[in-house]
Amino acid sequence: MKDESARKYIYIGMFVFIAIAFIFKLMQLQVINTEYNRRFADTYAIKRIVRFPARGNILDRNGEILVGNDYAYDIYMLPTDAEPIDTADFCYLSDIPKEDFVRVSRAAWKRIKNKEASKTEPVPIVRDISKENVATIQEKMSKFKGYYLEKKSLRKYPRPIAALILGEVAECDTAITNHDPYYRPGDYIGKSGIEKSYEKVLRGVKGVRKVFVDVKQNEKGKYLDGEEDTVSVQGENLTVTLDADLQEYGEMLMKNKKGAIVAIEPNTGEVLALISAPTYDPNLLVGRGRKQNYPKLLLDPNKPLYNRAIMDGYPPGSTFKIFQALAGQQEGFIHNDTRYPCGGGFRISASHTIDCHGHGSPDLVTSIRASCNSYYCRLFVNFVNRYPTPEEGYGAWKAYANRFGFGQNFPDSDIPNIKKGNVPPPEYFDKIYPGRWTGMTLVSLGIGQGELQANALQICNLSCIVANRGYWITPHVGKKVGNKEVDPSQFKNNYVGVDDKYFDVVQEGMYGAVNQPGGTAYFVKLPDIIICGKTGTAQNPHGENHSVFTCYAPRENPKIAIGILIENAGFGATWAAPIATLMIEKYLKRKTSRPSMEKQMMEGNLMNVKKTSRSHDN
Amino acid sequence: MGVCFAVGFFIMLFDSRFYTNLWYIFYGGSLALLVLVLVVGQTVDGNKSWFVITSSIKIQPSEFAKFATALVLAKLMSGSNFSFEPTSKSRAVFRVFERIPVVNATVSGTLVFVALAIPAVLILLENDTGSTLVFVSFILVLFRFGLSWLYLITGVLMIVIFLVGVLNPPHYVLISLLIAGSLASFIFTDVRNGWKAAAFMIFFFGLAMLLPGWFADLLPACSVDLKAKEIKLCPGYPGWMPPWLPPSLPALLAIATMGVVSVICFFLRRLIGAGATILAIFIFLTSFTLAVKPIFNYVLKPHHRTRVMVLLSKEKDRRGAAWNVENSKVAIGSGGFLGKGYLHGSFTKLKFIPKQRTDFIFSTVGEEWGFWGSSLVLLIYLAFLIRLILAADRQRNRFYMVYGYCVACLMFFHYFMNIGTTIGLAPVVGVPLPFFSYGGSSLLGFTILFWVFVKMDSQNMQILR
Repeated sequence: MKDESARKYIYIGMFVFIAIAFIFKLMQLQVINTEYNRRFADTYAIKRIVRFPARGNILDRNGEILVGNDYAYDIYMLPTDAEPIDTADFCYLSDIPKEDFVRVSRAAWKRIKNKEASKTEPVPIVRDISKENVATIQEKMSKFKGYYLEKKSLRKYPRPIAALILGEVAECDTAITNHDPYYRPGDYIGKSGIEKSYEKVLRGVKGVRKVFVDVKQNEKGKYLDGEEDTVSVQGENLTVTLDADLQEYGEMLMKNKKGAIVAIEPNTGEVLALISAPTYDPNLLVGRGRKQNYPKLLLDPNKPLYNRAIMDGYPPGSTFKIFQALAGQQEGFIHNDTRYPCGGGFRISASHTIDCHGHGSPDLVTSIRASCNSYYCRLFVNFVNRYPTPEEGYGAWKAYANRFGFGQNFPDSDIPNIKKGNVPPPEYFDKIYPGRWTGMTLVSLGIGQGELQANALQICNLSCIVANRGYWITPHVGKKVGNKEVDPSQFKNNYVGVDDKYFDVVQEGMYGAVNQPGGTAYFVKLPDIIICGKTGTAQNPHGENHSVFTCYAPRENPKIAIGILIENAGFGATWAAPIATLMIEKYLKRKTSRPSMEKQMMEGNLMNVKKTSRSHDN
Repeated sequence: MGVCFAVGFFIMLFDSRFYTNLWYIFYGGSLALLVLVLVVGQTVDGNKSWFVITSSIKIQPSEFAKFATALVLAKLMSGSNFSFEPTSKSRAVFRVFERIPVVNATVSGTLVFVALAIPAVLILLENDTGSTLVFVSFILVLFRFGLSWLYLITGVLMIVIFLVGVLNPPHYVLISLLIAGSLASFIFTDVRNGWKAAAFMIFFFGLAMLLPGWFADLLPACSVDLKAKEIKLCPGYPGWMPPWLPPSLPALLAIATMGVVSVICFFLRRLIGAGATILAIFIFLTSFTLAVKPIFNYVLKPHHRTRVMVLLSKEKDRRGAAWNVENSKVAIGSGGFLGKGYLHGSFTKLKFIPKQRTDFIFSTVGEEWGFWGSSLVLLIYLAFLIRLILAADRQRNRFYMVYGYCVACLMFFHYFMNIGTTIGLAPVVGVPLPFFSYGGSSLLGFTILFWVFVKMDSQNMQILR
């Protein structure tokens, strides 16, 4: 037999070789890749539980709650624990149709089967059970293994007002979650209005609790004894400049009408009320009702979800004459005693005349008080023709208009989604009247018609400029965050480039329009409050004219300026002016001295006005 | 634990001749238990290999079969006329069989394989693949006592070819084999046999070159679809083959060819000397290469297939097949150099790893004690195994020596498979780590195995040379 005793070294060599191979592999796992493995082990064994803070409340300028929080409950299913349940009983208790339950749970199980979702992730089955209904479900919940209730915070509106300016809160979509790592799918975010612009203040700070979980996702104690845990912090309360009473009153007055009212405190730029009609009860879009109500509101032909106060564009009509008078004086070619003949109309061509009422030969004050069309047509033509070319003349005029806030969207305001309206650039006219337009071609701009588009906010702002004698402060809604005033310097003073001295005449004219016989809105004169205003009637090719009014009050030391636009309401003084003065009275005196007018305005229904006859411009 | 100390104590009380003389009782008893467990045993984790006495006391007879088989091997191989090589000592009747070269089978050698195969097959019938594989480790023992090293090399090459061949087209393996085979032939062929030998070598390698082409046509292009959720089976037979033929036919053909070529080599043995053996191995491995995919697809069960894929890092589904291995690697890796401290292994403590007290015990060590701790465990095992080999080798009684090698190789196999599984260097077979894993049967089994050898060693010096 051969001697094979040397073969024992082959065994020893093999053992050593395997041990070295193992140690190399251990080195790779534990020394070289340890960071990766440790991170992986942590993400597997440590679960982050997010604690959502309640959003901050929104208070009006007097401290009344406009938006608060309410609680509701969702029913979640945890697939790993879920057992078959009595579906009929479950649906009866949670008050959902059986088909919904079947559809939702089937979809969830399908996702798990396709490995799109983990079995350990809870699935929402029923959403938004009100706290009134939850008691009956809560005691029976133990019957449904694997299903549990989860509390969440919802928005609540004690007074059903200001839906559009307050805005809504909704689950954020993937466009947001992809863009901003703060948000996870299913989180709530302010989608519009104040909720959107003050989102960072209102949302608060999410809290995170890290716990160890075992392979079945059961909690097994705190990670690092809670060292890295953070508490959730409720969003700060936001005080806004709105006046809830004024807002509610305005919405009542605008019932059954289409249009918008904006009220601003001229010397601060604070928005006191921002009304778009028709509006809706914001509670409709919270919780369970949202699913039924949102499509209904979206498809409503009167567009209640559309904020007419800041998004719609209307021709400003005769209210624009205020701007014309100021720009003309600053240019220096008219003064208080400049007179243009009225002649009952302004003849553009042999076939076309802009009508007027026959004001003789008015001076500037009279032209405002009586709203003379011919005067301002002539003023506009003269303005443009003073320059060598119509482009330059019109360009100069447009620059004034832009400084007055027309054609701009107030980018430094905290009201989101304000639309620009329209003051067309000279190039626009070059395109439609190539090489052959003059001031005369565009004369309808001079009386606030034609291509001009402005919204109620801009029209209100016009009165602010007159009240402030030469500047306006960016309209805004934020007043206080928590106990801290919103920095007023972020809303700057915008000077319009018209000297103080030119405002006397315009103020006198606006005073006359309301307070003197022959003024276009004389019948809304109040005995104790001096209102300065200007009516407008915006021609509307699609139907009855829109009623427009802008004013401020009182004359000395103005406290409120209002811009109001009512669709298809005809002459500016018939609907817009009375409603504006009722609101001024409400704001300054907290009551009305004219209950019959108030009643008439509230009951008036202008929703379905057909065009009756051709109305005059005022 | 207490039971084990008691058992160890009792073992030391008996004379070692108690085991050497009563080997047939141990062996027969184990086989009886293995048959009995197939009849009245209980199924735990898919293996019908347990006697459940109470809910907490369960006995796995395969653990004791290891001990009994070691005794039998020792008995058979310590016989005076035992040899793997044909010798003049063999009886004339068997010489005919013993003359068959390549296999070099002797009757005594064959008996050893039969003694191994009986318990292995019984355990395989219990569906306990892991314990069956343990019996492969006894082949390592045979190597020390005269089994040709060519078997060892062929075995290692088969494992390599299998793992490579599962993922790659057979051509790659064949070309590598051809190059390695040619080199080996030219080194070992006795050139003194002259030009005739050279001519035959060239003829056979020419034939071998044709073989892959022939088989490649026979086998359809067959791939393992790794992106699909389940490993796709290749049809296994080409289009021209009638579907009623067994799909493993190409594999059978390959094995038949191997047999034919072996006979041819037998006749050419004198002419080309050692080259014939190399050629035979080469042809056998060629056939095996072509059979890898049919074996993988039709012989292995689906969970075996996924375990191979996990080992090859082609299956990384943490929620599915690769759950335990990937989590075990993460747990060990997260221990870092210093470890998280005793009982602070969050990943293992939170039960992310199944069987962490038995088959995956080493992941707990790795996570809690880190690199230095787990390396220390490896080195202690290494020292223990080397000590066992040295102790076995110094035995004067051949029975004790064989038994000692059996103990060393069994321990090594468990250590290799268990730790290799937790760090992803061996497939998941589910064997315990000696003296570490939780589990009464395995601890008792290793205790008996080890203490019997200690007793033998203590009596070694009483034996006169």
